[in-house]
Amino acid sequence: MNGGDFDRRTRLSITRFFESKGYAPTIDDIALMGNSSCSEIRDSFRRLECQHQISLCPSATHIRAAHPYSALPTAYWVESGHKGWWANCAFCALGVAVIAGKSARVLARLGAMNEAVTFHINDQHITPDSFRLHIPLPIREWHDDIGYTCANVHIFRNSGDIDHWAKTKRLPRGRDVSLADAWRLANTWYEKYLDDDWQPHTPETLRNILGDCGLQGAFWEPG
Amino acid sequence: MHLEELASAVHHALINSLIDSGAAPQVDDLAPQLTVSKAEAESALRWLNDNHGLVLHPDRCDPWIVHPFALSPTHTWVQSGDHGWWAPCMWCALGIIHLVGGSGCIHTRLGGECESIDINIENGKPVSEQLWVHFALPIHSAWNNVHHYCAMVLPFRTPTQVRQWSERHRLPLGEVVPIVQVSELARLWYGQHAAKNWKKWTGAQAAEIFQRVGLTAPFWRIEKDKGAF
Repeated sequence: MNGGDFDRRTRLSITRFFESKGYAPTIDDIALMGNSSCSEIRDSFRRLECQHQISLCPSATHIRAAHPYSALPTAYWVESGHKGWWANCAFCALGVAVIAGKSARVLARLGAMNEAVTFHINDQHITPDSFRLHIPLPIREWHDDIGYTCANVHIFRNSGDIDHWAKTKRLPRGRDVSLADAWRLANTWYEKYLDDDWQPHTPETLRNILGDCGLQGAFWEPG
Repeated sequence: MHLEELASAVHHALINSLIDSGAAPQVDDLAPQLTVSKAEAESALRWLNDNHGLVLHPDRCDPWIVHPFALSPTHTWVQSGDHGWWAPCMWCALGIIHLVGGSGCIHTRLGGECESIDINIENGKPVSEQLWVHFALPIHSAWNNVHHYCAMVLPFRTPTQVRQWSERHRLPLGEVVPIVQVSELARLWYGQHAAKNWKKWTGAQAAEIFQRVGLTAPFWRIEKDKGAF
């Protein structure tokens, strides 16, 4: 079966469930939401994974991640009102905050090391915003191993700290952007994720989103 | 050199580089260090991966986890002196402390949620004993997906908080163990990991370690005759 709009609606249901409940939906949960059979949803989950829309546990029956949400504990915790979620990475954490209505706080540690920080998000502003967000790999390489990509997306005080971190830990040194720019990017990237007419990003839409934030060139090319 | 012998040498090189410098050599550096070819080093890495001596990246022959160390960031950071390391989980974090001299600080968040905590360890013992570690999944399932297993081994203030966390996140409720007991488990489990002649624990050896630490419930049962754990 070519999933098409069925898969789009499955993905939308997954996002809505995560946002509402704070944990990952099962196949049964999504089948119930859309009045579909479990086998249809199971097949849809597999197609969505092939399209890099979600990540499944090896059993292929449970969701490991549906960006920006993680089903399992990570280095990033986001709270809004009485709800909380794990995000796969620093950029995903901003995405969780966008979907939550742009009023949230993000709890992290700089470079995922010893210094704990809390970022407060209120509509268009993130404070403190004098930090840098590091993207370790060119966008076209992200899905070679999305778990590894996200594991290395973190917030730092400055570019020099990123240089030191990457060198001493022998990790990839990519590009860094200001936290304010990252928040602006997350806003356009994730703003429609709960909308009925949400569509997955294409290379062209991503190119436009990144270009609007001044992020152009080979590193930012979606491929 | 026999493959299993080379695998021990590779494991030794990785663990000791991590202890000394906070990072591990990649295969291009490992091979000349051990005076073997790159193909031989990769064979040893794959043997270790297949026998749960480490975890390779899914798309390349480079180590991702060499227990108790994670080679890329996780939710748990261990600091001792001038060096720091990522740990896949609290059990591993306590293992790192034992390997690097017995004293340090584990930086993480309770239940992976909002409350940051710095857990000081001195001479192998947690300074504050009023913490618990939750193991969400039974030990025999750890290698079904070790990333998944480790991600949920987290500290909490009380067993009640673990139950609430499990309900809140719809994640399994497993066994909750006092941190002092987990530290002793880590000492016995990881204490020899830097040895030159390191070998993976057999099922029988692993079962004995859990027994010695007092973890005797069915949750901790391992098949003794299954070879390496």
